[in-house]
Amino acid sequence: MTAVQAAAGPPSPSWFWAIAGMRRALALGAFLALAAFILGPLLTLLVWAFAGAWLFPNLLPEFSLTWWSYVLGNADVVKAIRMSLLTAPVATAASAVICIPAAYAFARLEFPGRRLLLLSFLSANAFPKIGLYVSIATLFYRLDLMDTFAGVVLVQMINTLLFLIWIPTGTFRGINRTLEEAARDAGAGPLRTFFQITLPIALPGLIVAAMFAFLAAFDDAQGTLIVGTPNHITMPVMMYTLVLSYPQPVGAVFSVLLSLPSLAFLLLAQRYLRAGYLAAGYSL
Amino acid sequence: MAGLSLVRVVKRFGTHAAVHEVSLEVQDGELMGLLGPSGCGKTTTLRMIGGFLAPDAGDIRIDDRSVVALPPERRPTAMVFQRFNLWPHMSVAASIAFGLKVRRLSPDAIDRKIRDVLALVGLPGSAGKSPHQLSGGEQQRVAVARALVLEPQILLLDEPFSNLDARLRVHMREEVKQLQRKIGITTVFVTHDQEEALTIADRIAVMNGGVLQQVDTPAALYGRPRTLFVADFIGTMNLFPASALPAGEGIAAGPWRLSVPGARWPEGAEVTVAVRPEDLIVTPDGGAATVRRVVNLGHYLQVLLECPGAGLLRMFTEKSAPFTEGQALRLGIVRALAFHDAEVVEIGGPMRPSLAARDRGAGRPDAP
Amino acid sequence: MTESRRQGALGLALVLPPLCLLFFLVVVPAVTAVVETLAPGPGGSAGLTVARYAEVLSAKVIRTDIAFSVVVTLISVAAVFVLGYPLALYLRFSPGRLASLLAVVFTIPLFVPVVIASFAMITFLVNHGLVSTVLYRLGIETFPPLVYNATGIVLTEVWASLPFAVLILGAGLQAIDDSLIDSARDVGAGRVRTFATIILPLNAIPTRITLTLLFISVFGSFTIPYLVGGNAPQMLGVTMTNYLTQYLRRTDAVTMAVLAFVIAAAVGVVYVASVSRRERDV
Repeated sequence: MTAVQAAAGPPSPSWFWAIAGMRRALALGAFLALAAFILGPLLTLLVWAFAGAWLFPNLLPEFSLTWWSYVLGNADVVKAIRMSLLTAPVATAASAVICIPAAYAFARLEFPGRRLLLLSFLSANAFPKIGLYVSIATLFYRLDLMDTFAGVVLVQMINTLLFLIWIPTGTFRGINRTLEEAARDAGAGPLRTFFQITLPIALPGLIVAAMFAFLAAFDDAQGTLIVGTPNHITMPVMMYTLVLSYPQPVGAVFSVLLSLPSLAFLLLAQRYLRAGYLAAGYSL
Repeated sequence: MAGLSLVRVVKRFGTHAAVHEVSLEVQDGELMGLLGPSGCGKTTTLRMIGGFLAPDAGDIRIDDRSVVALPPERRPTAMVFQRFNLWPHMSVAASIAFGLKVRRLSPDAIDRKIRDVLALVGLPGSAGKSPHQLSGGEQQRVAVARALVLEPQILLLDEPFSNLDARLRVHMREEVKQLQRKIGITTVFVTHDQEEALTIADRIAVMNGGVLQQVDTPAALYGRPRTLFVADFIGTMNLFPASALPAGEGIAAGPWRLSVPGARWPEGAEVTVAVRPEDLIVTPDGGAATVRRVVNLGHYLQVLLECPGAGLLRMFTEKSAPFTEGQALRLGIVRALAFHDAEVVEIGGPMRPSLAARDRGAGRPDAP
Repeated sequence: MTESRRQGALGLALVLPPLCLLFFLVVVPAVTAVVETLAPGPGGSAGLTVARYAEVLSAKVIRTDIAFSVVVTLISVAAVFVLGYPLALYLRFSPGRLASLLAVVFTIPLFVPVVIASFAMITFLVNHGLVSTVLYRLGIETFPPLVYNATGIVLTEVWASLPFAVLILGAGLQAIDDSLIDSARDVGAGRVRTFATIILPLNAIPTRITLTLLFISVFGSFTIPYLVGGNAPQMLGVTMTNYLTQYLRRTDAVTMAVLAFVIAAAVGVVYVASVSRRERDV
C-alpha cells in the first residue's frame, strides 16, 4: 500500500528540456538511436533463432525451425535446463527463508549494529565479481564443494542476498506499525500477526524481491562456470560452449529458451514493476 | 466493566523520561481524556496501558489486577489508532472478524456480532467493503467497531479523529461520546485538542513534559487550574508578574494591589498572576489601561489592552460594549489566581487599584 | 530494559543466518585469498612474502592485461555516464509518451542475462552481422571491426550497464524537489546553470555511487570480455579465470584476484562512504 503510493512522483517541470522547435526532433532522433542500440542486438538474435541460413548481405534470412529440434534434441542442453531449474529455485528459496526474517528484523527490531549490518550486505558489490568467484573457488577446493550441487547453489545465492534483504526491508518499513499493533490488540500473538497481517500486506514487495533474486541466480554464469564445471552445467554456462563452438542459430535458439523466465516474470510482475519497485530495488 | 489504575508509572527513552511517575485512577464507565501538547507523554502512557510499551517502573492495574506482564493480545483493552489502521487486504467484515476468529467463536456468532457492531457504529451494510472504498470517517467507525466487537473492558483512543476534517471531527466526537455513554465502557482518550477533551471527557488528565499536572473535571480545570502550565494551557489566560509586599499587604501586580488570603510569602517574592479574559472589567476605580485592538469574534468582543506593569491583556466583553482603539480606560479584576512556586491561591471579588499605580498614571491623559 | 534486550537478541538471531552466509561467501574467501597469496610456499622462510605478486607482475602479458582492464573499464564507465545522465534527466523532467516508452525500452537489458547480451551483441556487430549488412546496403563497405576487440567490450558493457546507471541516477534526481529547480529558474538561472549549480550537486551522492559501482562491476566482469573480447590483450577477469580453469595455476589466479581487489578497494571505499552517508540522511 505505502510503497506503491511512494512511486507516484509529482508532475515534473518540463521547461528544463523545452528547447523550442528543436526539442521534439532532437528527442525523437536520440530515442531512435537508443532504441536501435538497445533492441538491435536482441532482434538480430531473435531472427537468428528462426533462421535456417542467413547469408550476407541479405537483410533477412530463410526462416526455419530446424535448429529448434536440434537444440531440444541435444541431451546436454536438456541436462543444462534441468540443472538450471533445480539450482536457481533452490538458491532463491534457501535465500528467501533466511533473508526475509532478517529483513523483518532490520525493519522492525532494535538491535546493536543494525545499520552497519544492513550496509554489510553491500559488501559483495564492493568486490570485482570475478575476483570473488576465483577466491571462492580456492575455498571450495578445500571444502570439497567444487563441482557439487551445494557449491553451485551457494555461489548462486551470493547475488540473491542483496535483493532479498534490501527490498523486503524497505517493504516491511513501509508498513505502518499500527497495523500490526491493531492485530496484537485484537488478540493475535506475534506469529499470527506476522503471517496474517504483515506478510499479506508485504507480499507484492516480497514477490518482486524473490523475482529479482531468482533471475540473479538463474542468470549467473560466471560463478557457476567456475564452481560447477564440468558436471554441474546450467543453461547460462552452456551458453559459453554454444557461443564459442556451435553455429549461430544454436546459440540464438538457446538464448530464447534462457530468456523465457525473465520474460515470464516481466509480464507477471508488470503491475508491481510499474508501481516503482524496480527503482526501489536499485536506489540502494 | 472495570476500573483502571496507573501507579507511579515511569517510561524512559534513553536518559529522557517520557513519562515520569504518573499515577491515575479511571473509574468504571468513565471517559478520561489525556490532554497535553505533543511530546508530553500522553500517547506513551496510552501505549503502556495497551501493552505496546513496557513501563520501566510502576504498575498498571485493570480491575485491581496487574497487567504489566501481559502482552497486548492478553490485555482486556482495545485500541483505536490514529490512522492507517484498517488492514488493507481485508474487507470490513474480515477486519472485525479477525479478533473473533482468534477467540475461536463459531461462524454464526461471528456473523451476528459483525452485524450488531456495524449497526452500533452506524455502518450497516458495509461489511463487504474494503478499506479504500470507505471515507476517512467511515474508516474510523470501522476501527471503533473492530475494537468494540471484542467487548474489551477498557477502550483506548489515540487521537482517533485528528486526520479528519474539522466538521467531521466535531461530529465524530459527539458520536463516540454517545456510544460510550450507551455501552458504559471505561475509556481513555488521548488528544492534543483541548476543545475535544473539554467537550466529551468526564475528567481530564493534563500532562506536560512527562509529568501529570492535574486530573479534574473540565469545569474545575478551567476554573481552578492548580499549576501555571494548566492555567496557561487550558483556555485563554492573562499571565503577568507580581511581587509580594510586606507580610499581610498582599502583592503588587501591575497597577493593582491584590490581597492574597492566607499567603505567607516573603517580601519581594516573585508571583505570577493569572486572570481569565472574562474576569477583567471596566471600572472607575481600576488601573489605567489603553485599548490597542478590538477584535470582533462573532458573539463577543476580544479587546487587547495595554496595561503598564502587566503588559498586553485580553478582555472578553459583550458585542455591544463601546470600545475604540486608542481609548484610555480603567480596568478592574473580578477574579484571579496567584502562583508562587508550587503554591496557588485564589483571589476573588473586585479589586481596588493600588495608590502607586494611580500616581504613576496621573501624568497621562486618562480621560477625554 | 529486559524488553529491549530481548528484542535485541531476537533481532540479532534473525539477521545472523544471512550474515553468516555473507561472511562465508565474501569475507572468508577474500581473507583466505589474501593470506594464501602472502604466505611463504613450502620450504620458504617464516613470515609474509610478496614473492607471488612480484612473480605474477613480472609477466609482461599480465601487466598489459591489467592496464588494458583499467583503460577499458574507464572508457566504459565514462560512456555509460555520458549516455546515462542525459537519459536520467530526460526521464525525470520530460513527462510524455516518448519518455514513458523510453523508460520501458532502456530497462530491457536489466532482464537479459549477460551471456545472452554478449551473444546478441556478437550477432549484431560481427563482420557480416546486421550492422555490417545495413552499412553495406548504405554503401559503406569498409569500417573497423566492431567485435572481438576493446570496442566490442565497451559497447556491450555500455549496453548491459545503462539501465542500472539510469535507475540509480534517476532515483537521485527524483528526490530533488521541483521547487528547488523552479526557484533557481525564478532567479533567472538558465538550463546549463541550473544543472551545474543545483541538479549536479544535489545528485552528487547517487552520482558517486553509480560511478564506483559501475567501475567495480565492469572491472570484475568476465562474460563480456570472454565472449566479445579478442585473444590478447584480455581483461584481468578472463586472464585469472583461464589461469584457474585452463592452466590450473590456482595460486596465480588468486594472486590476480587479490590484485583486482586492491584496485577496486580504493574505489569501493568511496562507494560505501557515499551509501552510508545517504542511509544516515534518510
